[in-house]
Amino acid sequence: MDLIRVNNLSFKYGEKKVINNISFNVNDGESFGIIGPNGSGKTTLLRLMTGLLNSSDGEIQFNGNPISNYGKKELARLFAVVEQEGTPPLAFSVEEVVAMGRYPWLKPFANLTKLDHQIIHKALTTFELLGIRNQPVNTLSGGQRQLVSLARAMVQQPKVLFLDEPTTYLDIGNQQSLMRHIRKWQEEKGLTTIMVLHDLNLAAQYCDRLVLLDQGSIKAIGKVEEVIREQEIEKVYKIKPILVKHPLTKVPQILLN
Amino acid sequence: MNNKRFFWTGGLFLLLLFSIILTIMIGAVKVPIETTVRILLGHIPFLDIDQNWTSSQDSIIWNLRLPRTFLAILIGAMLSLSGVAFQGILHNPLAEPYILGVSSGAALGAATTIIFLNQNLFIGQLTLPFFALIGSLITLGLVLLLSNVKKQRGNETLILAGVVIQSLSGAILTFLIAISGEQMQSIIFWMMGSLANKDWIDIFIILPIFIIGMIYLFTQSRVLNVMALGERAAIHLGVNVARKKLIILIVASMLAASAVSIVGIIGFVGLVIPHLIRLLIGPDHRILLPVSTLAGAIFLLWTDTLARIVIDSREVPIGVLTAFIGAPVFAYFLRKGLKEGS
Repeated sequence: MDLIRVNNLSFKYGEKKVINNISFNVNDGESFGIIGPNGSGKTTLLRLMTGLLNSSDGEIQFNGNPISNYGKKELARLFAVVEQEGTPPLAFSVEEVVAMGRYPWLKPFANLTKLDHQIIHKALTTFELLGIRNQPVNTLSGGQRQLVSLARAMVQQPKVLFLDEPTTYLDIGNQQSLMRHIRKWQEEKGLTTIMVLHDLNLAAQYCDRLVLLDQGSIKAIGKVEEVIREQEIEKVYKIKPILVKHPLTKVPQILLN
Repeated sequence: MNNKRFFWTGGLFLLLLFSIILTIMIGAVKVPIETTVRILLGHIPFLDIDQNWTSSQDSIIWNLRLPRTFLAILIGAMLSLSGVAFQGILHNPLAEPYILGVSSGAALGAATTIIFLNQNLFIGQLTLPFFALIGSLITLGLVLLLSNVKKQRGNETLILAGVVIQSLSGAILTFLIAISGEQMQSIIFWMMGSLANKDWIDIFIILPIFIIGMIYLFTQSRVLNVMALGERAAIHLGVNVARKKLIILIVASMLAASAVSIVGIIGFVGLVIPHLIRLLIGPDHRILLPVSTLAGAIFLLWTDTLARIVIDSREVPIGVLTAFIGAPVFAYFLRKGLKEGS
């Protein structure tokens, strides 16, 4: 069943068309990847889907209703977003930042309830942050700060998790740990994830379906094997890639020539 | 969190009460502490206190020092509170209550009144503050208009719009001072800021603005905390960032504008106290806002007391003292904070 529908969506920055009449669906519970070269409109598409940007040209629906019909807090209870930079280096403690994820659920002036604290504790446990929960965020590494962002997003109890190049600043150890944490959460809660990824191999490894963007248009969409193909990659990225099968998961992986 | 808040606000509140009694005693005419307390209690209705003080002592305490004390407390609290809000919204280390130009607008309004108008025109001693307030509201309005790009106000755009409008009103002000002749001294003295020669009416005018502003900002502490994550993150948590930002900036500017209109430009309080308190107790606005409000009040109360006693029978401009005391204290904590890597 499709949870999110993008219908004939276009978007311009000034006169420059960044998203050019695109339509696709995201299914409930799947892991959906948005890939494409620099400037192809990936982040703009993500920001349109999360309601950060608005377009009068086309429509985005969640559960059959346009997202512009949802209130700001209502939307924040459905969508959580983790950005590239993760949590900024603040003097707030890990637990304080994670607790901020409860904001859309809190009544005005109300304090955190016992249930809120349980939800926060669960997220700290899931992302292995319990031991450092009293440390200020500005003493953590980039990888740990990204986990703090994920824990904060989990506390939001969203139906959909959006990620904008979450692995950009992470080493391969942290990349793998982050993606595994997301997968675990997804399996436990039936979460839908939509992520912008630069790294095609990571996208092939961790997404169920992909959309390949170029200059604001869809160049390919479908299962990983239908999108990560020599001719598509060559056309969009202007390189001659070598495609191999991952020895364990059998998904296509790209080697540079 | 609750223990920390109780400890800090309770401690500072006691320190403030203690400071009030002490600073009222201090001055050219010494009034013993017992008499001071008795005079204060004597003015509370239904309290039966034997009157064993002279009427001149009563007048010094009740009509001169007490209003000045309350004014110092209010102005210090308003500037510090406003500074916390500006720093919380703009995420700029230089953010302070005058960053959107309210002080330069107030100066322009005051100078215009001093040069061109009868200072007792239609509302007597309040004419000057009235036009200073009008001046600061005009500059604030211009900055908000100038920084409005598709209903969004970026932090850099806001700060730069503030710089532009301040330069413009600064130029007009310099021109006015140049042509002012003998009123030049009055304008310069106004700009240096002073709490001298004020009475209860000034307090009754700004008290409601302070109370409304304080209550509003205290209710926004959770929003200010979430905004620390960045504006996009705050939007994704369901905060209406554009609207909240505008209202908080206007409320904080109103606090600063009404303070400046009454006492002139007193710098440093709204910049240094919020930074200092943040270094001491951390970034949580639920504690930061009340503690900074109290700390600003105590700080300005003591600097104003110094301003009136440092030189015999002469006032030192209070802005000189706020910077003179504030800068070294701040420098010390800044170095200490940097060494500890926070």
